[in-house]
Amino acid sequence: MRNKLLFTGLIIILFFSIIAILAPLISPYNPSEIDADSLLVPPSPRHLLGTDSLGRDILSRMIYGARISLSIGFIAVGIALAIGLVLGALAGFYGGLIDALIMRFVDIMLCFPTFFLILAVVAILEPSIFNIMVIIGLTSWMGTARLVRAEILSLKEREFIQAEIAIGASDFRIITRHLIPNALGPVLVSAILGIAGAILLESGLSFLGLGVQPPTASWGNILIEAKSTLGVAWWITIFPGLAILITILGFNLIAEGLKEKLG
Amino acid sequence: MILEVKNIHKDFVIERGILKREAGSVRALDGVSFRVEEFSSLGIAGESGSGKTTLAKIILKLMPPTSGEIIFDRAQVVNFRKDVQIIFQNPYNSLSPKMRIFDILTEPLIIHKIAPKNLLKDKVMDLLRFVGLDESVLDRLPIEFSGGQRQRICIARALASEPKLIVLDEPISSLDLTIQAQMLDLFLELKTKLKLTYIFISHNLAVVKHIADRVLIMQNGRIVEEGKAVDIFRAPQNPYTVALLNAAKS
Repeated sequence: MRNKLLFTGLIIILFFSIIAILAPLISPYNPSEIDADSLLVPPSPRHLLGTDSLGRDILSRMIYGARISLSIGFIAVGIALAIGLVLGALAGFYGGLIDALIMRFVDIMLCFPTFFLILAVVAILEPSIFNIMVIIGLTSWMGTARLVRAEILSLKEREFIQAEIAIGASDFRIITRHLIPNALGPVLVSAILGIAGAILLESGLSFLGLGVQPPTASWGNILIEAKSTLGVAWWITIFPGLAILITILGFNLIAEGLKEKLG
Repeated sequence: MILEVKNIHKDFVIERGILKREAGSVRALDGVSFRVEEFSSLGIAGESGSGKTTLAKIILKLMPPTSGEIIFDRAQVVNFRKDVQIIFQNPYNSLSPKMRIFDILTEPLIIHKIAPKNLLKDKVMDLLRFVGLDESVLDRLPIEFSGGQRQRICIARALASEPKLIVLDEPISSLDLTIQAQMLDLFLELKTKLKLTYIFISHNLAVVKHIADRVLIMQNGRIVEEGKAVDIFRAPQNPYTVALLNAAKS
């Protein structure tokens, strides 16, 4: 394997994905099960990563949390990618007024501090997992749209697109079969970085109590517990923090590796 | 007559600054008019920057003219995008890089409903035979071919929609010398076999002489000389034509 970055990143993400998929099989305890006899137990053979102040097993909570955190990352970016591809392609291909309208809309969206926009929306709607995926998706497509537009602007002038117009291909055909497939490389790289961003955003929101709501576990909301017990129970902070760190690192490695591979 | 080009002008506007203020314009075509007879082949020659490619793009409606008209004979050009095709100069840039040759060649067939699905493969094979390629190319990507082979694929794609008029914009100037001669012969052969009309654009008069019955000489967006190929090559009237002829000889 020549591309070490890509390989390492893929291994990390594959590892966490498998854990997330197999959660019910490998989790040693029920993640919401409260055990009054073992509050704030440090890591030990019975509780590998310790327990929190309600006696819940941290490892089990993290395994289930991986499901939530990763799926928020993937789905939010899926939504962002869909919006970004469509708007970017339309702006780049048609130019003129359509381009101006779409790109000014992008500028407006970029003017909002995303995090506070999300906070405000979550405060009005309820912070369910579904809402959070959608809101993160709806507020993070602008980079993709700009990237797609730039790619398409340069591809559009290439002769193979001119040749497609000359054989009478419809705009839809040209955009979907010729422009987007050739613009996808750099977009993929930014999408993978976007997944890392979405996971961080979710963690931040959950940490503030406006993300995934307890008792459902996500890596972010395990950390809420950690805040009040930081002095006595270091394990509640360290392990979810490490999980977030390593996952973000994994996605960044994949993105970096892909960039190298695509030249 | 299959095509009449009437008094075409094309100006490219130069914009400056963030307000896109018009800072001036460059005149690429300055009152170009000519006619193309059916089954003929019209050669258009001139140095780089004389407006040849701009003219080709305007004829193909890939770019609007600033003023002037392009009139096709309605009896012969019924469906413009089907009946008029173009072959570009650079075959390295003219094929969609992520598509297999089979998909590239079936596109015009599907778009213009030329062959039903079960006959697509047969039709593609016919096209490949026309341009001297075989079945082995079908599953490969454009990047796997040489310039000459790619240009043959571009020709096959242009022929797929069964066109009447083909604009060839410097179709051989990016190819090796040995392949240039083969391609010229292929163009001549296809023209008789498929009853095509050509507009053949080149900066090289020797090439134009080989293929055209009538010739236009362009300089700075204007036609400076026009006539039968034999006459122009025997007794050129315009000093610019003489210069081009001398350049082609050396």
